[in-house]
Amino acid sequence: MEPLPAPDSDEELTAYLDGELGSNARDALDRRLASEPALRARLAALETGRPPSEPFDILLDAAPVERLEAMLAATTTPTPSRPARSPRGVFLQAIAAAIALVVLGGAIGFLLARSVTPVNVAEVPNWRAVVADYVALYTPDTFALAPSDPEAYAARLKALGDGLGLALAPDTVALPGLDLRGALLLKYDGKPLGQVAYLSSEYGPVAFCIIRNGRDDAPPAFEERQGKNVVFWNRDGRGYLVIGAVPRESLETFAETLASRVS
Amino acid sequence: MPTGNHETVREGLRQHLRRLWRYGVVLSGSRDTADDLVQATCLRALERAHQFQPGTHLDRWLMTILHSIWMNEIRAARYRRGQGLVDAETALIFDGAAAIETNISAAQVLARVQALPEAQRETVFLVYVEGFSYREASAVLDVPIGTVMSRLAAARAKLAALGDDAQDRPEE
Repeated sequence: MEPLPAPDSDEELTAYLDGELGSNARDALDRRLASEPALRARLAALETGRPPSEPFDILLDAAPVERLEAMLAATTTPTPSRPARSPRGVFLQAIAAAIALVVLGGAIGFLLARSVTPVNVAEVPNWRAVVADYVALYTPDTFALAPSDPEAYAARLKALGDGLGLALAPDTVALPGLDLRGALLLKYDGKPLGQVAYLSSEYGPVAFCIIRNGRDDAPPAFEERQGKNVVFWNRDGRGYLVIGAVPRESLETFAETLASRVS
Repeated sequence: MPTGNHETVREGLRQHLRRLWRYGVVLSGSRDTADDLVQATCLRALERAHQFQPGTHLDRWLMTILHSIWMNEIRAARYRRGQGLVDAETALIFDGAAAIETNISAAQVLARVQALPEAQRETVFLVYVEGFSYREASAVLDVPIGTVMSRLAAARAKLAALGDDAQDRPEE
C-alpha cells in the first residue's frame, strides 16, 4: 500500500496542488482550507515552488538532433525478414550483448568461470570468461563501419582511462598491423572494465581489456578461451588481457607492447 | 524477436530523442554523458523491444530504461571514479547560453532546479516538466509513490523559499 500523506503536511498540500489527492482527501482538505488561513498560506507558498516547464525547452533546443538521429540510424538490429545480419547490426548487437553480459554478468560470469574455465580456476578469473564470451560474438564485419581514424577514439580512450586510473590515448594502445576500432568503458562485478577493440585484416577482431580488480601483480600467462588465444597479466591492481584469433607468439608480442606503454 | 515492436520502438526512439537527451542532461549535468545515455538507451530499447507492451506509453518505457542505465551503470561508475556529480552544479546553464542570456529568469529556473538534490531534481523534472503522473514517475524511478510525493514537497518548499522574489504566480 502506498502511504497516504499526513494531513496538512507539505506532501498532502503538494499532492493537492498536483491533482494527485484522492477525492475524499481532497474534499477534506478543501474544508480545512476554507477555515484555516495558515494552511491556505502554506498552500500558496508551495504553489510558488513549482518550477515552470518552459525554461527546459532550452535544453530540447540544445539537443544535438542530427548526431542523435545518426546514432539511432546506426543502431540496427537484425530482423527475421533479414536474417543475414548487417555489419552494423552485428556490431551494435555485439556491443549490446557485451554491455548486457558484463553488466548483468555477475552471476553469469561466476557460472561461466566455474563451468567453462578449463584451467587456472584457482584464481577465479571470471572476468576473463565473460570477456571471452562476448568477444566470441565479434566477427570481421563487427567493426566494419566503426571509424577507422584512431583519433576518433581519443576522447573515448581518455574517458576509459579516467575510469581505470590510466592515461590512455590512441598512441598508447596502438598495435602494429591492427586498426583501432573501438573503446568502451563497461563494468563487471562493480569494477570498471575497459575494452579497446581492434580489427586486423589478418586475424579479425582483437580486444584489449583492462579491469580494476585490486589483485596482486602476476606475469603474463597464456590460455585459450572460446577458441581464441588470450594473454593476461596483472599489475598495480589492474587485470589486463589481450584476446583474439592471433597466433600465440604474435599475441604475446602485442601484450608486451601494451604492457610497456600502459601503466 | 517480434519485428512489429521493433519498428514501434525505433519510431518511438526517433520521436523522443530530444526528450531523452534532455533527461540525460538533467540527470548527469553533462551533454557528453547525455549522448552516451541516449545511445545506451537506444541499444537497450531495441534489444528489449519484445518486452515493450503495445498500447502503453513508449516514452515512459524509454525513460525508465534511461534512468536505469544512469543509476546502475553510468552514475555508479562516475561515483566510483570519484568524479561524483560535480559538473552537474553548473551544467544546466552551459548549453544554449545565448538563449539563456536573453532570458534571465529561465536561467534562474534551470539553475535552481539543477541545484536541487539529484533525487528531487529528476522527480521535479518528470512530473513538472514532462508532465508524468505520480504513478508514472514512481514507475520510472522505481520508488514508491510516497517517495515521489515527499521529493516533490521538499523541492517545492525549497524552490518556494528561493523564489519569493522571482516568481509571482497567482493564487487560485
